[in-house]
Amino acid sequence: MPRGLSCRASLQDENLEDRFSRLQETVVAVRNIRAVYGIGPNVPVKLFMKCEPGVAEELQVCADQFENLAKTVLEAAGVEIDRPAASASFNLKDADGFVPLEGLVDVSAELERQKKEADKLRGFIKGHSGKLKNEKFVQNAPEKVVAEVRETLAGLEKQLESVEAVIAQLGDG
Amino acid sequence: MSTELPKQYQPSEAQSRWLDYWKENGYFDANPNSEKKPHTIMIPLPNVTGALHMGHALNGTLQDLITRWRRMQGYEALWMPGTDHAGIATQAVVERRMFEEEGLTRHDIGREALVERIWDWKDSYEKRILEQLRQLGASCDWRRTRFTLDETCSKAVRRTFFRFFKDGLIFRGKRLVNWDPHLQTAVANDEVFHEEVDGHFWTFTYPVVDEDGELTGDKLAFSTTRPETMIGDSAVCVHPTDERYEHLVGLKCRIPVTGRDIPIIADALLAKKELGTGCVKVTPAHDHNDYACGLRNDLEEINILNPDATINETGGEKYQGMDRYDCRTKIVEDMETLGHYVEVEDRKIELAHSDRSKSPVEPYLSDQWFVKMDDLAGGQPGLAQSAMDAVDDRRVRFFPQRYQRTYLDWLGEKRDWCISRQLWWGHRIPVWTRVDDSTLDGQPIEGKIFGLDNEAIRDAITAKSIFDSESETETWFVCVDDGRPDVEKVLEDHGFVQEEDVLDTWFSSALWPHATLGWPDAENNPPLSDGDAEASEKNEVLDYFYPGNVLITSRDIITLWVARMVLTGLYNMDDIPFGHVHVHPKILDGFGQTMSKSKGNGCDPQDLIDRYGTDAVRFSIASFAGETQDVKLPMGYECPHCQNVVPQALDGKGPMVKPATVKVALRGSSEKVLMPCPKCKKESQFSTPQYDLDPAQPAARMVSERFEYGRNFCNKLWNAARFAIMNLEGYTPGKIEESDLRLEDRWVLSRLSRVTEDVTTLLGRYQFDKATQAIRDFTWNEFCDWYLEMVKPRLKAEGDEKALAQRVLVGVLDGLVRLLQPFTPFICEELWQKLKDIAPERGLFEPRAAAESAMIASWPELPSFAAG
Ligand SMILES: [Zn+2]
Repeated sequence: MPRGLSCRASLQDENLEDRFSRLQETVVAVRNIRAVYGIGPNVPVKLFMKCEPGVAEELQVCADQFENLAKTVLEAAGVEIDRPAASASFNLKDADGFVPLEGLVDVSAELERQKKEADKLRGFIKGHSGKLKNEKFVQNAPEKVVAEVRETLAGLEKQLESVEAVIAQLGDG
Repeated sequence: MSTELPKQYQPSEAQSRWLDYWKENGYFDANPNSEKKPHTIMIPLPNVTGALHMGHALNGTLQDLITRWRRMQGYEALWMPGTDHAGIATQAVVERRMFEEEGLTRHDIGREALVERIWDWKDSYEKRILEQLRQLGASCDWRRTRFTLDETCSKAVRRTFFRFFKDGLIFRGKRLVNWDPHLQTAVANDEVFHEEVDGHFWTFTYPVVDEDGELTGDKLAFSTTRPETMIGDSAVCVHPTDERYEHLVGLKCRIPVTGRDIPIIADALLAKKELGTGCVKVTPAHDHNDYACGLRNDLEEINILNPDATINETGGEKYQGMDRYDCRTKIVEDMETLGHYVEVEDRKIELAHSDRSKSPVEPYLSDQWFVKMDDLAGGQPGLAQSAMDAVDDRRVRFFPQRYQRTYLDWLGEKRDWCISRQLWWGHRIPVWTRVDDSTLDGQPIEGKIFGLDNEAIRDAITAKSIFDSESETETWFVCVDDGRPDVEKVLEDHGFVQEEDVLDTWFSSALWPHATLGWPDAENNPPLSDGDAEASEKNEVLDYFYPGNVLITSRDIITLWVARMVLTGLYNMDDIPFGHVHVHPKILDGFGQTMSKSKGNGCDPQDLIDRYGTDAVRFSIASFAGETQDVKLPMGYECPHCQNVVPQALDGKGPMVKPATVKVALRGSSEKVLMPCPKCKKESQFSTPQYDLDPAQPAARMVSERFEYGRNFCNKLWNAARFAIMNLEGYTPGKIEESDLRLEDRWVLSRLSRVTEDVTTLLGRYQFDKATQAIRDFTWNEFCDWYLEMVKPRLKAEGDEKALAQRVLVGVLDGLVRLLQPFTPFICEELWQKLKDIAPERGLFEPRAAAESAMIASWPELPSFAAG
């Protein structure tokens, strides 16, 4: 099949695929923010991207797909972008993204809700780590049960980490 | 034109529709075609012993995948189907069943009647096996279906034997074999398994006698687990440097139970000073180590057993006719009475059993036929060496490479190949024998027997004789070539009798790659099952399709089969049978045990096909065919009353039917082993390879979560294609200009191009799991989840924008369907035909008429923009 290989190669565009990964990651990040803050899929959101000019240009080219795939308006992109007040953020390899929450979320109520959630999680974490500190439990309970407790604890700690990040983002507004 | 697909993919409808369609159009057929390069795969022929199991499904899926792929790449792709008569395995099954159901043995009904019954068995199982393969979507050229005992293959067997015989590569010899007294045949080492049994370890003494036969008063103590073999002892052996016995070497000792005197010898390889008394008895005819010692020391080989493992005339009045185990007891008693019993201890013994009859085998000295594997006189490479050279110089390459070790190590032993079997089901050895009490006075046998020096006859036979000086007789062995019944008759008229034994099954399967193509007939193409072999001047089929490209097989048969195909290919064709050998993983049950009939943990692929669809089964199988790991397949039985899945339990527990539990009644009648459902408490029959289910009753069929992978994939593909097709209303073919492409189009084309290249490379290396993963990720994550979403608004637009979006979408879908065709042929054909209705002309970037069928479409080669 000698004809195929050389010809096929020219359809492959690594640079394009990289740009596309950035687009995909951005869309996934925005969808994730919607999920975290309970913003419905049809509510438009704004997006600011802090990045090098070249990256900014490439992002602008995809602007209609942000709209199409994530109901997201790319407001601005470039090195000069500052983090807007009370915004959710995410980091990509070569860009930082910000979605302002003002008007979409009741920031103070959300902050309260997230703080409560954090307290609840801390309570659970205390309970589980207490169990693991209890030598009797660790020695006598079946291995499977101990492993399950460890796993749950790790999950809770991860959840708390994200909730704390959200609190930090909302709090600095 | 309706642009809608049904909501759900219906595998069973698609399967029957497209199987018929492909067959009607002859898409599976492969014929010599000077315009194309050949691609040949020979099926690892399934045994007609029973129906196909999961291992066959895996093996078949991979071969079909490669065949379909190569066909699309423009090769004339032949996948040769067929089955193996599987001598001992099939005969044992039929005999066992006959005995269970009618209480008859083969000796009751005779050779002809037994063979007839086995042919009936073969007919029904061959049909079933081929149907199972068809249901898997196997694109074999069914017209070429061969069977190792059919006329074409039989000719090849006769000719090969004749050539071997003529070249002096076949010899007859007494050999110590594993004898199965139950089936009364020799069993190959590979057909023997070891199992620990409770036994005893007795210690006895033999008195030493001097040159005059007088007892010296010395005694030699030794131990044995098989006292009955005393009858056949030829020596007692000590280590040459063992000071305890040095003075006795060269004297004799007496076997008290028979009164026979045997030498005391020294042999460093057999006796160990530190082991027991340091003294061992030697029975060359009934023990493999003793046999070797006997050869080293020129000891007498005394066979003490009849074929049914009773003691023969060597036992004298006292023991002749006794079963070996009864004789064992008797001899222990007699030795005690005679004052030569020392002690006994209990011991676990690793006892060799026959795989076929599950009964203990006996080392047994018998006349067998062999093929010489060793190098020839003068150091010329022999059969084994020639096959080793082919791998050493990489004419034959293993994928993964590590398996060539197995091949080379085994061949490196250059052990002669014992090819005779004391069976009735197989190729009868084409040698006629006569014992004469005088020699033929130096006359050529042709002249002596036929009374004339007939050239035609001389070419058809080759003869050897062995003179026995003791009886002053000459035994003549005459081998007759294929296709000379006239000569056979003359021989028989002159008192020659054909050998009773048949050839080892592997003798015929070793010839499979060239025999199936019609060798040794150089003039005619091999016959086709529909009767009309194309007339031709020569055997073009053999010339064109030999050598094959790849053999796809399991590691169990690298030595017995792969190695032998290479050596017979080199011998008969002067060329290797295939350039690549791909060794795929094995399928294990959920507990990591191999699936086998005797364990009862096997699975009929049809259950899975019925439940998940053939495409899903194939796709899942391909996804676990990697290079490193065997595949664990946890199975369960789905209760037909409440759909609760009862997991398959470890050997012996839970629903599982072992052959031992299958009573006569279960096979013929509607009475089945039942499975109680722990949830709804109802009982039901359940799938088992042991017998057919009662179709009138509900049955618990086998399920396995791992096949949901393939089913989910097919559903995802179907839904995506359904969405795409729904949006093709108003499609018009047209050229796609590079400048019109949107970012997402360029991206999906770049990805499609890359995944095409990856899949092509991975299939070329037989990395099926990685290829499946690559194509699944593209389809699911990129095409379905991103591209379709991105292109949606343009499909809802009007005018040029929509037209272009439709053309690109059709082009991408077309490429995807072609990429998937070898993996999931039925759903692909379904989509292809639908696309053909809606977009008969399509393509990247110039529209062209689509192929009639996805099967014969070309493998995607995405052009560059410039070329388009
Ligand atoms: Zn049930």
